[in-house]
Amino acid sequence: MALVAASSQIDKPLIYKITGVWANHEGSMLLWVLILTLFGAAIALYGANLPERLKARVLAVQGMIGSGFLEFVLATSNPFSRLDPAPSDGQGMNPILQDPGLVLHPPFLYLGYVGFLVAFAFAVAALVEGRVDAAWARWVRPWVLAAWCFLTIGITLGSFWAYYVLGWGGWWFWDPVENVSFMPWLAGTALLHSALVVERRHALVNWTILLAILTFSLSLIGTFVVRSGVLTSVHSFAQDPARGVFILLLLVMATGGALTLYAVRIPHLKSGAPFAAVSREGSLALNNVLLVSAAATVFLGTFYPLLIDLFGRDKISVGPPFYARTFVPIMLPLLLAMVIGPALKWKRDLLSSPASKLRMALIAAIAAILIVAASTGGSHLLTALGLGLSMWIVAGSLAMVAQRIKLFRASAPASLALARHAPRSFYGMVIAHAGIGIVVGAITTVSTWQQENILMMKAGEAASIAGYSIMLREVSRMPGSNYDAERGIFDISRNGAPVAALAAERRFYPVQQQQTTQTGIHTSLISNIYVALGDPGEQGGWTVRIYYHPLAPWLWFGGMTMALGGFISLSDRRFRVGAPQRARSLHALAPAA
Amino acid sequence: MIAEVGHFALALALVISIVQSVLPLVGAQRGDRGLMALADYASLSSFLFVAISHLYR
Repeated sequence: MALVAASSQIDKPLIYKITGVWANHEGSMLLWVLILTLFGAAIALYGANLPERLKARVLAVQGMIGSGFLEFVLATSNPFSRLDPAPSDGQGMNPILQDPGLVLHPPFLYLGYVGFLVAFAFAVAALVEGRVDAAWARWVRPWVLAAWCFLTIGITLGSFWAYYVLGWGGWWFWDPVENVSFMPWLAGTALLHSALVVERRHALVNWTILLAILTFSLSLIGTFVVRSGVLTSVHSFAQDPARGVFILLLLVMATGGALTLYAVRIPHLKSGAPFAAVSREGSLALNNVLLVSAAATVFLGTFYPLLIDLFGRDKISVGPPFYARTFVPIMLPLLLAMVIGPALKWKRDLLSSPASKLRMALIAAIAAILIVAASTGGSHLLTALGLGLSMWIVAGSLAMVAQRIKLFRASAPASLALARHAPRSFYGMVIAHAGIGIVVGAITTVSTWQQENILMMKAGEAASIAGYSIMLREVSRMPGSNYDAERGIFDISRNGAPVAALAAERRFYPVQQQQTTQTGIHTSLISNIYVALGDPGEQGGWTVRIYYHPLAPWLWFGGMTMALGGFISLSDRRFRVGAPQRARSLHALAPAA
Repeated sequence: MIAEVGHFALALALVISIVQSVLPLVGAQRGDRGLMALADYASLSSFLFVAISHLYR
């Protein structure tokens, strides 16, 4: 078959023969449809306690998007087209994709995207129905939460994969492909929080519906951008637009249709419960405004260069400096507020109430800022601020737990009992928030104190970085299963004492005529030493890129902590499938007993 | 032969999805429980056929 021949070959390791299914366009769309229909089946199976009409409408909307994608797969990306005559071997999969990180990255990303489709279907069904209530939000929240967890894992894996496969020593490049998965994440994070307000207080209803539509639209845009080839070159896309136009059409119909329905029906939807600016709802509304602004910033940075490229003659490049000036300032107040918000009461509160609860966290944060500022002689004020924020979030999360279990204010057994009875959704929130704090701390540290040393090295020569000495012991040829490699062995030592030996490879895949790097990473869990073997030089020797990345492992550890928090929340009793139904049947039994 | 099985399963899933996107909506509007219940069977069987097409890739 064409698909297999294009992306497989006989001597490819088995696992990549399997993942080859989603390493290319056709198979990847097939995976999308599989997850889409799987979620539909899950709603059908476990949605017995959903109101009948709502369920029928949700599944119908889900079916519409499903048929759109199925048609797309069959019409423009048929994965089953036959090759005649049959080739003896395939072209092989893009070697850069033959990596364990990529085995899991796309499924998680798609689980996230398609999870947001469920929220979208619920939003559209609610618009048709003209009714949104707490039960609706209770149903949507677990889906959004699950989608958010999967997307968080997908992005974390993607970042890690880029880190060790690309050999550029970076973990996030603000590349359009990364950005388009980050935008639904930002919007999805907002949705997660606004759906909470709908469930608890029946406020922000209209906004939540709109956000559900936007989040899924961003997921579709992500699929469009990655799948249409618009990124490689807007011009080559314009020459062979069949695929892109189809997804674009799907995007316009889904988003346009839903937004039209929104405009028509929204006057009939009741959104009640006013709230004061200083309240839990108020803080969650602020969270939403900032997250959506952040998503809009990323959107601008991603698509503006494409538009310029399409209409003008100039190419402009939007990179990290743009995001440092636009995205970061939006995130700063958000990071400040995310600790204060959970300490506020619903409906109405005073700013003094979180102040007393978070006193210790505030002291810890200020101490962190002062210590970092003093130890760097005041030259790294932004770094001090970043680390202070990280401390503020982590300490603030711990303070919430201390507050909840009345630590040191009640007897130890009483605190323990309170800790046991606190809902899992509370712990989930605290852990996920702490995960953000960890990521912020890691980003700040690695951006400030990373070191790089790029040089030509011959066997026996040594380079130094961050107090480590790195010696190139030898470079040897290693045949792989479907590639030839040059493998460099590096000995890392510190003050003469050996620390570790690293292998970094340069692989050549003859079938694709393509070269990849296999970086060598030595991690102490606190920092990474990262070595990539580059091209050989004319006078012998090789280009070697050596990086020192302090706290880099904590980037992905923080990301996974966020997802873990989400999953713990998801395991809360309130979210368990069928829980509302059981509660109802107990209710029915009560009078009889 | 195997490729055709996958292709056919996918085409079936498409037809089922189209049914799934129309009839339950009508059912919900008219209060027809039979049509609404169709959504469940349709989504389960479309998943089944897409899964089959995945196996016979």
